Amino acid sequence: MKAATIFLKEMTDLLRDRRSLFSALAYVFFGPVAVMFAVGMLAAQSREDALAPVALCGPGEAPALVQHLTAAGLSFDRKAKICLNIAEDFAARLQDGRTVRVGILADLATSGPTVRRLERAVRSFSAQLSNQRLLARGIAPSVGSPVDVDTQSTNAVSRQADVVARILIIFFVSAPFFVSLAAAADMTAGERERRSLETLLAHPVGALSIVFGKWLAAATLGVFGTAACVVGGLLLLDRSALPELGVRLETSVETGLHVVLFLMPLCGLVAAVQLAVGLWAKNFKDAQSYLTLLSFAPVVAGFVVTGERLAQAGLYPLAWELNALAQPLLRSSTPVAPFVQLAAVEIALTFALLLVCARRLRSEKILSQA
Amino acid sequence: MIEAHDLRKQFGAVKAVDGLSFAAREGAITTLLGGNGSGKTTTLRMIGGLITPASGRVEIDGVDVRRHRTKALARLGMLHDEFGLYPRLTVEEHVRFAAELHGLFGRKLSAAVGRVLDELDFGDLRGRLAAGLSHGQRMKVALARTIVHRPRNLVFDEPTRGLDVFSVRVLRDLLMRLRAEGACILMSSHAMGEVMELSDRLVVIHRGRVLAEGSPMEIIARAGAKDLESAFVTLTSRGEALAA
Repeated sequence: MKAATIFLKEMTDLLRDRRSLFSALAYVFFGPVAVMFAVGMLAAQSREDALAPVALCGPGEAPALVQHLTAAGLSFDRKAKICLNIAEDFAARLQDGRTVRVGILADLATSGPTVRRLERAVRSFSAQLSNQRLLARGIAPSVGSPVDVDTQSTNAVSRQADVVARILIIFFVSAPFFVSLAAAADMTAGERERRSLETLLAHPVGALSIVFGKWLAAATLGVFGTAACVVGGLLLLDRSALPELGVRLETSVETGLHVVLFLMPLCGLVAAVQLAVGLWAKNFKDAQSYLTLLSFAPVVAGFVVTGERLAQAGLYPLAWELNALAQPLLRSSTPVAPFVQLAAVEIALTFALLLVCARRLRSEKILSQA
Repeated sequence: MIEAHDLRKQFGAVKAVDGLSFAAREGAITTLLGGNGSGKTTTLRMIGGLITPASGRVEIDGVDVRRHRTKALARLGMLHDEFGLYPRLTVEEHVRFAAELHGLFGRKLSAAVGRVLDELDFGDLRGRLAAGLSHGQRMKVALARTIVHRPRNLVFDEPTRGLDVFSVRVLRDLLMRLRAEGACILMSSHAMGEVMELSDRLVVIHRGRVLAEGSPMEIIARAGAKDLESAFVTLTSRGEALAA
C-alpha cells in the first residue's frame, strides 16, 4: 500500500518535471523522425548508387561487346561521365585471336557501383569469347576453368538492408534506456541532493516499499515511452523509403504490440539498473552522466553481438531483444529462446536489483554522502 | 516518551556521540543544547532511525527503534534542519503524502490533512507548489507534514534556524500547544533565547557526552552563572578541562 503511495507521488512529481518529460519525449518524438531522416538519406544514397549510363569513347567499334553489356543491365549515352574506351584495332585483334585491351575512365569516388558492374560484364564477355576459342580448337571450355565458384545468398535482403534493419532494432531496444533516464536520476540522486530522501526515510515505511514505488514509476514511464516510440516509429517508417533499401518492415498494429510486449521485461530491468546507478552516484549530475553512458549499451551490443554470437544470444538480456525483434519486424525465422523464459530471467534480475537498492537505502552511507 | 540509552557513534576517528543517555517526557519540551559538532544532529538522526548506533539503544514509547523501526517511527514526527520538500508538489500534496506514509487513508486522511492545514492557517497556499514558497512557508509545510498524523513524540532539529520572527512565532505557538496537549517534544538548538523561553528541560551536550541535565534555571544555578549563555559557556569549558 505504501509502495502505491510512493508510486503515485513519483508519478505526480514526474509529470510536472519538465526536464524528465522533455528527456523522455525527446527520444519518443525526435527518435523516429531522426531514424526516418537517416533512412531517407540512405535511400537517396542508394538512388545515387543506381547504375549510371556509359559512353563509348575511342575510335574502335565493338557491337558484340555492347550487346553483351546491354544484356548485363548497362545503358549507353554519349554524354555519360563513365567512358569505355574501345581501341581502333579492337575487332581486328579479336578476329586474330589475340588479347584486346579496353579502358575504363571514370570518377571512382562517385561511380563505383557502375564501374564494378562494367568490369564484371567485360570479364564475363571475355570468358564467353575464351570458351568459344577453346571450342573452335576442339577443347572443352571446362579445361580452361577447372574450378568454378557459385556464390548464392541465403538472405533475401542485401547487406545494406541488413544494416538498416539492425539499426532499427537497436533504435527500439534503446528506447527504455533513454525514456526513463532523467526520471530515474531525479528520483534517486536528485532526491538525495534535495535532502528529501532523509525526510522520506524517517517515515514508517520499508526501504523495499520505497524502492518498489520508485521503480514502478520509472518502469511505467519506460513502458509507455517505449510503446509511444514503437508506435510513432512504425507509423513514420511505414511512410519512409525503407522498401527502396530492400527492407520489408512489418508495421501492423499486431507487430507494434508484439515489439512492445518483447520490450516490457527489459523496461523493468532497465528501470531497476537506472535506480541502482542513481542510488550509488554521488550527485544528480554524476547519475545523469553514468546513465547516459549506460544508454549506449544497446548500440554497443548491437554492433558487437552479431552473426553467430547473435544466434547464440540465448537468454542474455539485450542480446535476446536484439535477436528476437527481427521476428515481428522483419518476419525473420531466426530461432530465439522463448519469451516466457527471457521474461522470467529479466524479472528475477530486476527483483535482485531492487533488493540491492533497498539494502543501499538502509545504509546510512546514503545520507552521509548527500 | 523518547529514551536514549548509552548511545555511541563514531565516524572514522571522530567520536560523534559517546555514551549519551537521557529521557524526554510527555507534556514537556526537552532541548539538546550544544555547540556545532557537539553530536546533537547525530543523536536526533539515531532517534529517527536514520543512523544506526554503534551501541546503545533508542526507545520511543518503549519501542526499540533498531528492532522495530516501522512501529517506532509510526509514533514519531520529525522535522529536519533541511526541510526536504519536493519542489513540484503542492502544499496539500506534501501533507497528504506524509499522512499516507503514516497509514492514514480515506476519511481519516482527508480530515487529518484538512485539520493541520487549517491549524497552520495555509489559506490559499494549499495548492501552491513548494518551489514558489518562502523559507518560512516551507518550514510551515514541513511542520504540517511532521504533525499531520498527531504523533505523541516530536523531534525538531534546530527548527528556528533561518526563520524570520513571524515564522518563529508560528512555530513557538504550535510547540506550546502541542506540549499542552501532552506531546513529548525533543528539539536541538543553540539559540539561547528560544531555549530559555521554550524548554522545560535541557540536556547540555559537548563532544557527544551529557554535561548537565535539568530545567534551565537548574542548569544556570549549577553553573553558578547569571544567565543560560554564561552557564553554557562555563559548562562546556569545564567539559573541555575534564576531557584534557
